[in-house]
Amino acid sequence: MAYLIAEEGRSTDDKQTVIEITADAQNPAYWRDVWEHRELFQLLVWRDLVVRYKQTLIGFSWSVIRPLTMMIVFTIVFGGFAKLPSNDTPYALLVFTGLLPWMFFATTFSEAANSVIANTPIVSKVYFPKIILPFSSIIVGTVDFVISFCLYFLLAVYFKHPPGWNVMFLPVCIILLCLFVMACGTWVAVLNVRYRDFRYLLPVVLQLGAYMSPVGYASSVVPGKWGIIFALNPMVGIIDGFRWSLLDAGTPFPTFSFAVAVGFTVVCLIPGVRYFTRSESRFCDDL
Amino acid sequence: MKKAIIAEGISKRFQIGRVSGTESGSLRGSIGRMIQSLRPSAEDDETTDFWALKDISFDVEPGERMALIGRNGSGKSTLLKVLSRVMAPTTGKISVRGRLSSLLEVGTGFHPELTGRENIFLSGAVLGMKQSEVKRRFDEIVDFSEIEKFLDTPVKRYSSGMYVRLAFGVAAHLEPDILILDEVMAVGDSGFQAKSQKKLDALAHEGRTVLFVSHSMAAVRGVCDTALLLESGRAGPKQAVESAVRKYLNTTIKRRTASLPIVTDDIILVDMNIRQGSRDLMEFLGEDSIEISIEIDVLTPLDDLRVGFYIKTIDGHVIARALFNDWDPEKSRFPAGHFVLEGVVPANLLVHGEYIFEVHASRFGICDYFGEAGQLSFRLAEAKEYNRRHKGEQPFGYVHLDPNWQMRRL
Repeated sequence: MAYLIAEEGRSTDDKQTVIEITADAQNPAYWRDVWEHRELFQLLVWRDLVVRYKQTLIGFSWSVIRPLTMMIVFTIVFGGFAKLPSNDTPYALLVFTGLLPWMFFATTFSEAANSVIANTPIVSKVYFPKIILPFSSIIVGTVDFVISFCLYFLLAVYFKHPPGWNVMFLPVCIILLCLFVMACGTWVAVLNVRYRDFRYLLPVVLQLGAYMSPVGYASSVVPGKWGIIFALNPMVGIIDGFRWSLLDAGTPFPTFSFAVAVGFTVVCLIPGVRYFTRSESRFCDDL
Repeated sequence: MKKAIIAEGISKRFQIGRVSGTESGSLRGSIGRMIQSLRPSAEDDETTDFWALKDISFDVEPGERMALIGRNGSGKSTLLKVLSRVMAPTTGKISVRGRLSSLLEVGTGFHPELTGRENIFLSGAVLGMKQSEVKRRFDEIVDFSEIEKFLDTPVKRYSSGMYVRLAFGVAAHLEPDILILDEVMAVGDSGFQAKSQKKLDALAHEGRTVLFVSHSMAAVRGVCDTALLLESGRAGPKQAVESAVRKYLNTTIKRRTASLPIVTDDIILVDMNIRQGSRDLMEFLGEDSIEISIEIDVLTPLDDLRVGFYIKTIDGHVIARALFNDWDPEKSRFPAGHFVLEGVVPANLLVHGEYIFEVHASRFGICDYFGEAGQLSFRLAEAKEYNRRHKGEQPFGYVHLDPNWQMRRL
């Protein structure tokens, strides 16, 4: 569907937008349309935030309780029972630095992947650039992320293990994480509309991913010969990047795995977004 | 003035086999088809295509109120979706001049957990309003919807009437250049319907263009000046709303008369007829009486049969019912046999307009034989001796009332 938007007419009162609707899947004015729908974007984010904890007893406390319980369980199982090494940092902090990016990834990825289907009532009734849907899922997830982050700093103070100068690198990791979610989210959101298989596949992938990524353990426990294969998972580089920035444990920067994450994101993001914007005019046919 | 909408050769194809169905929506089906399409004989795929719209062209003047009329599945909703950019057409081109808002359902963008106040802003944004506009018109919307007391209640606790009022209220304050409406008028209590009708008229008279879809011919005639008649995805030429409504009703009647006789276990409706001398079936004069006849075959003797007819408005409201046994219980007994019942609808009963004549046969509390299957629609022409200045207001209501006015100077 293409919309060639042109302002016509000479006098100001005669100025009316002319929209062309055709079968073409390309819309040259797409990003301008996105900008014009920024208020809708804000409201969708606001809606998802407000609605999320409606009719719950403890509301936003869930954003604190979820990462905390995960941290406690992982610390007991991996640090306590399995006695995995923690590279001289408190095990709880090691786990939490893994949980920060992982939980953000798991929630926003699945929210973004389901964002089109979840918004069927509006997608099938009014026009707007649909890319704001997966994008708003990421912004909504950021709120939890910020809460978890504050929690981390409290814990770091409690364990007397504050981050050092490496923390300057953290924003790069966070941006990479967001772009990585966007890259995965746009692909799966489109495929999910077409093939509902992804709805069932996704929880499985995320569950396996939590064990195949160094969330509850340090990457250093992975035996050398498996290290390369292990690091092909882009989340390894991102999590290790977070750890390197926050823990300051004197370990070398995870160059290889981080490069894999950057490479994967670069290769997938632009085609993913393009795939999404070209498919969106057909969403309604499949919903 | 430049046209508000120009549509040229709009077609929309759905690939039935691919879109819905158990296998098509899954990866396995898709991979299977990919393998299949590698083979040379990929042509047979065409059979699963369904053309919801086929080569539709029309244009709409600014300020025009056009109806889309057609049976279910004729492509009305698909056309509205294409026009409101929700769906891409398969072929063709539409140019739309000005801001377009579509109201394809009541409460687009509403979230049940949010309050009325919050939903006004959310729905406004979804429908394409700027937040500053919503703020500016907020009080108007609340006033119009009459929900002031419940502004801070989640809309899931609203009655359906309140919900509809609020939803319409938001939409009605949109200020689009082109407003697309689908059947939203059909809901809400009658008081509010009148109010929303008024609002619509106001919108249309401010130079807005309205595209309207409804099954209620009364609503269509109330709102629109012109109409496009859709049948199986094809559109006829644009015409005046009155003639389109008549054509639409005539085609529906043809179907119904064609389906006679209506056969049930105990009774068969062999034929039904309404006549006025030599006048054709469709249009009668209200000043003269109309003859009706009902021909039935009673298969088993019944002693509680109620036969007769209803006169209904086109939207299905009952205006009158007349049964053979209305005055005499003995007339409920029918031996087996072939009968014809004849009667008249008296002169000066109904005003100019469209009506439905529906044959009724039932046993009280036991069964209704024909339901709405035995219907014919008919039309009464404009009254000849009516105040010319009131011509535009004909018809008013349904029942002809001449109070035999007298005026005395006091």
